[in-house]
Amino acid sequence: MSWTRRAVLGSSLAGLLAGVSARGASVGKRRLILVYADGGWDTSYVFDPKPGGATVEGPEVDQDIDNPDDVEALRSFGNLTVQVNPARRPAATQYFERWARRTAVVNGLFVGAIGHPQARARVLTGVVGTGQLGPDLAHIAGAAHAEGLPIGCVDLSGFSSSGSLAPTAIQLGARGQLGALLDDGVQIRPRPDGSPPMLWLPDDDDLAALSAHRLARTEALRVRRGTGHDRSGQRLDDLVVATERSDALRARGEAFTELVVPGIEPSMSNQVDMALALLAGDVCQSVFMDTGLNWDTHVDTASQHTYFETLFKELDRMVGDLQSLSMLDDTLVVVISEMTRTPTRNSKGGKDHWPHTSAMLIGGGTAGGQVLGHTDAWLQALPVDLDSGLPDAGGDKLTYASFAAGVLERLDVDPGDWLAGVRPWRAGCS
Amino acid sequence: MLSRMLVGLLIAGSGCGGGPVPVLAPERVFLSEIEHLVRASVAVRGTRPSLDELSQVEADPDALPALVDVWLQSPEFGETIRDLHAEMLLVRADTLPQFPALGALAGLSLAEVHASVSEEPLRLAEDIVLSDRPYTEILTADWMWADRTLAKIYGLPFDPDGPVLQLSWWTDGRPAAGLLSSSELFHRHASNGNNFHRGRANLIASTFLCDDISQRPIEIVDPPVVTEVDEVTEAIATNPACGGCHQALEPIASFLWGYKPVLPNKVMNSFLLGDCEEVEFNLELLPAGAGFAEDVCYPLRLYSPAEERVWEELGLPHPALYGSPGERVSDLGALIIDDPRFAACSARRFYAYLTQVDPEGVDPGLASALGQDLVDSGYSVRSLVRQVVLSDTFRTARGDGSDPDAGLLTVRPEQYARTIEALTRFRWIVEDTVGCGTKCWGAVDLARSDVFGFRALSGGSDGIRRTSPTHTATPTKLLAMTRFAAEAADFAVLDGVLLDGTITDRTAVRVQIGALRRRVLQASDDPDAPQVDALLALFDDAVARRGDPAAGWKLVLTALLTDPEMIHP
Repeated sequence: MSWTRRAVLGSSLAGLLAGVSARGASVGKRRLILVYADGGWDTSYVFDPKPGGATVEGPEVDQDIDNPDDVEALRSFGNLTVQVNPARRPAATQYFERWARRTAVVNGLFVGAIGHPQARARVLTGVVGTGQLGPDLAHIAGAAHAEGLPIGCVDLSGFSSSGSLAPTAIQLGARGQLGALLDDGVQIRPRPDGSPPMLWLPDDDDLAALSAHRLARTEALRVRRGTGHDRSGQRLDDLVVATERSDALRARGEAFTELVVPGIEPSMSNQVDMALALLAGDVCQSVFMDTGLNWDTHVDTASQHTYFETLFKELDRMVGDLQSLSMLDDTLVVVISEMTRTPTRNSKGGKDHWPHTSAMLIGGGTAGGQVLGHTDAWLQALPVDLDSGLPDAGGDKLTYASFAAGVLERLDVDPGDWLAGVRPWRAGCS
Repeated sequence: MLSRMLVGLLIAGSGCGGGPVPVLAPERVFLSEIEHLVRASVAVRGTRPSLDELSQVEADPDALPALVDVWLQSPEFGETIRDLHAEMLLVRADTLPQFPALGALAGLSLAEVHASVSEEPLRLAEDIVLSDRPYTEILTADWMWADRTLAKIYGLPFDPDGPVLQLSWWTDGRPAAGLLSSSELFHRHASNGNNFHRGRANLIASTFLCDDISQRPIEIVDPPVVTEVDEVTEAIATNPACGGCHQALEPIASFLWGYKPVLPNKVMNSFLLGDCEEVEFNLELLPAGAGFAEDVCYPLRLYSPAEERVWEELGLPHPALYGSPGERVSDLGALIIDDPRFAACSARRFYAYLTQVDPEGVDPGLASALGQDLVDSGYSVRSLVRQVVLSDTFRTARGDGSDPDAGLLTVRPEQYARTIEALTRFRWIVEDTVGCGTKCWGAVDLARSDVFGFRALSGGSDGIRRTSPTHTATPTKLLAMTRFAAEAADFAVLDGVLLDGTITDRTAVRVQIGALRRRVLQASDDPDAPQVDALLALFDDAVARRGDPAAGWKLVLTALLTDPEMIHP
């Protein structure tokens, strides 16, 4: 894997040296917005309806018989059929009315784990792990096409995994702390009561001098230690890349820093604004964001209505803005959660963990208007043809690894570099 | 010793077929004695060596082992042990809701509350290691350390006229089991309700035995439709796909039923705001065992001996660790210690922390050998740490490809904060006191916080979303370090710490830069060294632009505090 990493870091560096104002060779490479729903959504509420209740207690259980509008129903948008409820989840209906033709729903994605960190690692990186994880899809795609951009991937959520690509990526911080680092006007450290404010902070000239000094010292250290491609050499490579990217970010960070409010945990709405600004401002190639909601409804499954409503309301806005900015064709939006919920409800009216999930692919490279993959009566993944997404008893189960490899392929990244031997999921490519 | 072992492992794994294949491997190069001094000091204490320690090693290149022995008894090593266990137990999660600063805690800041509860299990580990007691006591100890706040939260024995930290113990009848008796461990990892302590069981197995049960493959065929507890219990017991994990998890979880559910903060808030005079719960919404005033009002009671055998009522398996039966959580601690994986897993975690590698990636043979050394030393962590930091792997400057764990380290945010404070006396503190009412955080250490600060952005773990550190330079780490260093430099020059910010005489400037290089980077203090020329150019440039020598000194000090050798000891 190390050769891949060096190649990625090296090509990015070359682009940076050519100037941050031009995107260079990465122009035309598909961007990625990865939207992560943390905690495990209930796929039966929208993506994977199981009407009838024989095996799956879906959203129909929550219907209020006194409310004539509170009706769960299947609705087809072209060839895309999902579960809707005009009273509880109107935004989902509105979303599919507008964007079904740009959206592919993927059901029957086998995760094979029911612990949150374990399942999260699998769906986001395509590999098994919980410790120091490898890079997730957003970081791989970001680093691969970051030439000419300050940053490969920006994580607005804190859930991402940068792995070996950390020098190409940044994170916002749980309360938007990055904003304070990029804006000298934000006072991090008020002096004790009554004393004057800070007298000195490095200005742009100081920061440029510091970076130049650090880069020169790094090369001197490399020569003195004689480092090559060992761990020490990698650390020094990373230091050079991180220094140059932090400088480039400072030069371009105003594209989104005005949207960052240090001290506030960003909602999905805030994150959508920032994601659009970051991509439109050519600050980065990919964005990792989350829904700002905890979908882990062990006690009250009915909360999923509200969560899906928020999700689709913001997705509707985001996809609309991408369209308005003429960015939808070259931006892939992946929406995913680490697992779904058990078919039936527990004694507290909640649902527990189930090792399968669904996803949505929206926009660039997606043949929309269809549902791909399928599940049995208990929401379990069934074999499909990985190229067509159609049921195929002799086919393969769509695994987290195949799905991840397929997403990378859609983003012009050779999945074999990161997921060796994994057959990519090619269904739904436009 | 570590390097010899790795060579042996490589030979063992190279196969026997064919003749030798000539490989032109790069030569391994070791750190100088001074460089090794610096790396070991940062790893063990989180600070760089003092001038006196530097002089000792300059005078006697073999002085390091004796210095390490001294460091291993220092409070700074205790902080390192707390940092290590915080990363392991994920208890320093300040972005999670804190216990409300209401009722008995009225007037306290959330930072004080967080510090008291999150450090509780860490102080026990620190105490055991610093006093060189067998590390097995982290699972058997019948004591803990409490401050006034923790004593109020849990009703612990505490002398109000005594020292800030006092030896104390749990008074709710819970068995003595070291970290397994920790309220904070089970407050942070609130795996209860319908989860029946399974998450906690997996935490225990993965943390102390390096067996992440939840990673086992799951393939459920013909899943049963289960809703009620007894149906779930039967499915777990009879469905082979469920059994792969649950037959290991359930018996461990059965040890933990004495731990009561942790109720959401909003519930505590509402009761505490009402002075807890009339506590009435909707029991239907509460997990089993909850619904008492002591669940929501201080002092909290997080353990109830009467609940220990609830597993029996629910038809869950008898408590056991991989088939070895027990009764109470103290038995679980003893069973873990008896499991040969405990020593190897512990050694793996210490080695991984010190060499900055993924614990899961440590060679099993190496972990096993280090574990045996740990056993042979009477479970002395000090001995283990000494062994690692004096090893060839640790003192490698340039690797030869045979040892992926060798080479430059990356300063952790906690280490950087201690280094900056040791050098400049500066602490990166912000006060959150205006307009926040009962939700004020008070004094927040920006280097160690994720609510307001930059710990995760600097490569640290936030204990909840970023559960493992990043051991390399990143743009956000450099931005945060530069800001931290600049503020420290501002403070140091204004307060006359470390340097005189008024010096302008050329010769004196060179001498002071040389002295700073020696103090900050443990480099030569030669005023005519080329490295001094580079810093002098920075100084001149800043003075020319700002017209103030203090600005020049601040820039020089910032450069030194963000030097590659500071970032990568």
